[in-house]
Amino acid sequence: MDDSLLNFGVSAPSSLNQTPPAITEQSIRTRLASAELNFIELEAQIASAQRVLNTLNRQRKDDIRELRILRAAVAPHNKLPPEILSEIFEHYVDEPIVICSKQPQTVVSPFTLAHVSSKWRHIAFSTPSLWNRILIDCGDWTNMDTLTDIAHNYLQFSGSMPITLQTTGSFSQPRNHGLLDRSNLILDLILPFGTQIQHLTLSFPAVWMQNALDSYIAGFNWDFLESVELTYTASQYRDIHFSRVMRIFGNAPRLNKFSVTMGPEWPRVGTRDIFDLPWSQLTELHFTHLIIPITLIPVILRECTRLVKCTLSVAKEFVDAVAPFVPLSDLVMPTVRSLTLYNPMNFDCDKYLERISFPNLERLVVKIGGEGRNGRKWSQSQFSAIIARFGCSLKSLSTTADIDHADIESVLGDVPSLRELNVQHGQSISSSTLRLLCNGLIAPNLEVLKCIVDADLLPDFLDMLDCRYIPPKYRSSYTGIRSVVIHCETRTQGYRDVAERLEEFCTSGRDIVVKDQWDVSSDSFLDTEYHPFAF
Amino acid sequence: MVLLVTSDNEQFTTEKDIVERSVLIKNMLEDVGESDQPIPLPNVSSSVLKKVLEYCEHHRGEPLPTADSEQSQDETRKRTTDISEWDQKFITVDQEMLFEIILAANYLDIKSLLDVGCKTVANMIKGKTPEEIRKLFNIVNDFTPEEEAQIKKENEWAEDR
Repeated sequence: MDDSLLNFGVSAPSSLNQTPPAITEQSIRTRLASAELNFIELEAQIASAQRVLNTLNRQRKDDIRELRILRAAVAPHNKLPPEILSEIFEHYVDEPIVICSKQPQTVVSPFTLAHVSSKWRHIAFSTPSLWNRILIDCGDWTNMDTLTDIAHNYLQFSGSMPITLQTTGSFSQPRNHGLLDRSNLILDLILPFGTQIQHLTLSFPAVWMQNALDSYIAGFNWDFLESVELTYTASQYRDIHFSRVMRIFGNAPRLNKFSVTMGPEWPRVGTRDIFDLPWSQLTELHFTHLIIPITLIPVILRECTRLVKCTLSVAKEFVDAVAPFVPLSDLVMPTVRSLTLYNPMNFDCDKYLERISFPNLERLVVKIGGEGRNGRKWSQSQFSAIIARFGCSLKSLSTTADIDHADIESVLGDVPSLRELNVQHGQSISSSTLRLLCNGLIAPNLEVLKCIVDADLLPDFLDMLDCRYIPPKYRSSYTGIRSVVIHCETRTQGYRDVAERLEEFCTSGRDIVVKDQWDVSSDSFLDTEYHPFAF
Repeated sequence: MVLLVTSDNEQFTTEKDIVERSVLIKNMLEDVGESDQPIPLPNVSSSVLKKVLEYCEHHRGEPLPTADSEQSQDETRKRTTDISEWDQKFITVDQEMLFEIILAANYLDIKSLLDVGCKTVANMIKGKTPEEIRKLFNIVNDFTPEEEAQIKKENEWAEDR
């Protein structure tokens, strides 16, 4: 309550609504008139000050804008000509643009550049190389219409640039999501840009692949297409047939890489299927888990006169069905440098390549199928046979087969050109092998070694590494054994005894990784992160 | 030895194999032949040339990109923002100097230095919103109402996801 009211004898809020005595009322009225006048005057002063303040604020806003314009005019970046800004933008978009349902807030997108200023917008839209590489993460396909719309909005700025289009995503319930109805969304996206596509990577459920890709059969011209990677993921359909997929890329004059990876459904290629790929152009051909009848393999390889890298997979039933398999005639493939074989268990992977030779093969990867450790067992004769066939020029050998220590020694001894050996399963490297390695009597060119080492052999193994280590400043063409992955039991006393020494090795600049022998999560050795060769 | 004269009339004497990392100067020297004549660089100030020469000296002896290799590496070169440790330290300068180095590299035709500069600016932009980029480089939002409306639409695509 206002103190001045108290001076008129009004002592409590409740008495405000009561009629005061006459003399008091007069006094209040006089004071009220004066207060009202004061109030009106004060209001007028405030209004006047407000007008001044508004004028000043407007002036301030104008000044800020002018300051910004003037600062911008002399800002260092303003001196850059459009062609340099365009180059900066190209460095900014250094990865394919990812389009997905859950977009991270700080995503790299050329639209970010186009939303900065008129000048940047113009340059961004005039730089087609910012817009020509798209990765659509389809997730569970629920937002496919939006995702393909967005992708289209990017690609429309790609001008005549070659396009890289990739899709990823998992899908497990096709019927619930109307998968087949949605397949056209991707086709509607690809078709208008089809003649511009340079690299196409599609990862979709097998059933979609088959239905969607069928639409391409009508002799589509892939003028720029250089590489195709198809990954068939799981869906609920069986009996997926593969031949039509082969046909759709027949008209691709620049295609040099073709790769198919199969999911659990493993569609099969029938012996009478038509393969219409420009085989003689291919430098890379990868059939990973795509089961091909072994009678077809020599037929295909015969056509691939420029092949450098190759991955083949066979199934045991095909082997049984056509055995004994006799290839037509001898075939020499001098261009092939890298060969990966996915084989069923207990099958001699050399058999179906019996009359095909790869005189310049440098890298061989053999993956053995089958469950459990026994499924990966490789007999001494199989192993010797394959080394005898491929060993002459081999620089790198990787295998998931179980290998005896005698086999490891024979590889290292019989293949002097070997620079990398990756053996993930089987027996430990032996003490006699370590002695031979230590003295340089075997594997004189070995640089990368991944193998199993028994815990009690670890001290000898580290001694061997010491013998074969060349410090960087003394390295010439041979670098010494510089990268090692040891598979051993890390819970043993033997490991604990050398743990400190291992740590010293690592801190002294040597590249040593220890993985527990029984740790299945570390099954990444075939990724060959230490691989020294540029395959 | 080669004598260079900057826009602020400062003279720099440097060895031929260092300065020949600039294609512009290399071509000039080939055109002029053996001569003691100073080479004027009217677009490069002394402070910037000092930095450019520091870069050229460090990378002295490294193979220069040929027309063929440049064409084949062009795509790779542009599609990465990796910068070596030394180059990163070298290019840690204020914004004005950074853009001056880029301009000088462009003028002198030193492709690798231009790359380092452009990659550095690209890295500065990465992870920023348009407003943050404007603040960083003192850029005025000068979009017309029509452009603003279009940008709003473009942003809606992102919000739809």
